[in-house]
Amino acid sequence: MPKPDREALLAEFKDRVATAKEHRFADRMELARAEYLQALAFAEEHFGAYSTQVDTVCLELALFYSSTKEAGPELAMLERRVRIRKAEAGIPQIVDALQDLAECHGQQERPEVAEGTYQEALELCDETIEAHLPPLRMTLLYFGIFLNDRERYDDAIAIFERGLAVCKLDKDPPTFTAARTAMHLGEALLQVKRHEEARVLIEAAAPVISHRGQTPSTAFGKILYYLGNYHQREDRFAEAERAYDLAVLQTHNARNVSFRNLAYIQQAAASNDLKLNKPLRAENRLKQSVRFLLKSQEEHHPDVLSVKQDLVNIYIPAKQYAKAEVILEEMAAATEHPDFNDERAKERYLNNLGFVQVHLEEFPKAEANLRRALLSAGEDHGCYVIKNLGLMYQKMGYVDEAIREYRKALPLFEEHFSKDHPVAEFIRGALAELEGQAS
Amino acid sequence: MPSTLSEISTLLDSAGIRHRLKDDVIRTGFSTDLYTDEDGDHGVNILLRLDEDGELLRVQAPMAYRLPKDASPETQAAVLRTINQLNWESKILQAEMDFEDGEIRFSADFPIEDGKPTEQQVTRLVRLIPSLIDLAHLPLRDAMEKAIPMPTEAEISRRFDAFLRARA
Repeated sequence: MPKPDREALLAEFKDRVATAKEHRFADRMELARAEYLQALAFAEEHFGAYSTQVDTVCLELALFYSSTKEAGPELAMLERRVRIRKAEAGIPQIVDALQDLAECHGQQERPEVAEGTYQEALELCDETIEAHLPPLRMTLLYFGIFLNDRERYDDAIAIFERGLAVCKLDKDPPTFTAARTAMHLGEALLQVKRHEEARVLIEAAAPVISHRGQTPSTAFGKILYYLGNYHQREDRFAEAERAYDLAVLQTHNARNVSFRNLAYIQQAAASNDLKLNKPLRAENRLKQSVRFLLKSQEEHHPDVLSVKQDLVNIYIPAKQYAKAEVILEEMAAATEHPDFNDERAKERYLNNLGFVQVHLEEFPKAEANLRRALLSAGEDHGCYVIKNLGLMYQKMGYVDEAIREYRKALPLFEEHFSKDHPVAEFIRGALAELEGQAS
Repeated sequence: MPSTLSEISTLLDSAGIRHRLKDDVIRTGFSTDLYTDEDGDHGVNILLRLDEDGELLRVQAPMAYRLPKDASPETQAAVLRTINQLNWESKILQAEMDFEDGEIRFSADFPIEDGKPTEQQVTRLVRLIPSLIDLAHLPLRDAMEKAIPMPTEAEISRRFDAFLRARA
């Protein structure tokens, strides 16, 4: 029987790998496993144990094992790939394989081994050899991200700075890699409170990474969110708005959308909108934030309740009591969940609900909710709730009952807050008016 | 045989896109992340209509923005450059401006001719609008509010490379 020619063998090998990939992407994992293992055996038999074909299948299998969470086999494949490249390939290829291996060690929580592997890759590179520059700058980028993830920001800064210096060595500047490096360097600088240096870097790199031709990323969304927070703290609200908007685009268009991150960004942006005197925009952002959070959290989760509270904080000062009532009723209902155990929060929601119902003149509902709030009262003995009961009776025209509740609330405010607390002042004013009517 | 709006409506139904067919127009809408309409709501209204005796499907987000009549020449130039750049970077959708009233709209025309559009074709056209309008929002805002035109990708790269070179 004639020996099959190399072209035919290569075609069959490619076909096997393509079939395996097809199964993997269609989530037919056992079929994919069988095809990959057959492709590996085929490559070993026909091309040799150290061939580029075996190298190819090793990487594919590593990706497969990563998705099936088989840590040991994933590592074995990546180690074998390093051995193949050390035996057969040049420095850039070895560095590339070492970088994949280091990333795997990092993800599998072996940080010391990961760091050693990154260092080994870096030591192989010579900055004076042009061919070494691409793998060197990628290794520096991923090593820096690894250090950032472990909160070793000072070490990360040194690595990213070296990465940017290496980017400058190339005749054709690797703009996107340099921009990615600058973004992550900016993140590290923000963490060590070198805010202005971080701002300059992130703002320079943001147009590159956020251009339509580039794949958006959750990581950049997070960095832009941090930048927005910095601007907001510094009262640069227009700059903060832009950073948050870019953060939203990066996060929402990323391959794996993190709705929780998106919700946090929208909540922070809403707070910024209020400072820009854009309450409607803030309201819309907060509503979106609630929707995003509810994709992964339940109604009684503190994050959901926090965003809803922000919405209430817009509605009540704007006297939009009907809108506030809807949200507060949801919040009060959420406190009935068996896992909810924050009595102070429960008191606050019911008290706010009662307060808005007083203004909506839904007195029976208001009284019921204020009485329920008192059952959860804390150290201040529910002084806000008692004040609201006074307010309710006052609005209903029940002078004696109003005076009784205000008189109960006033000393509690004086004791737990201060004599000149604004609510204490309000109560004194109300008492003066009511006592005038009573006499 | 040309397509009818009822057939397009059936395709939208099948794709789960809520809409209303009335007076020879299909109206639908999507929420947006950044873009806000005239009322400040995060959403975009989309119209679908058939032209040329049912041989051309037009999908439009009319009045997405309006450039004020008294906009400075710098602002007008910035807006036009931005619209040009958006179109340059876009495969299917187009941004268009009517100089008469300053209307800026997003649209896609799909020649049906003697065929029938598929559900995937129609949903891609419709869903592209909220996606592009969000991407276009910051550049258009810069152009309309600050007379800053949207840079080309090459300009962005050159600026960043110059920044890196100047950085100690």
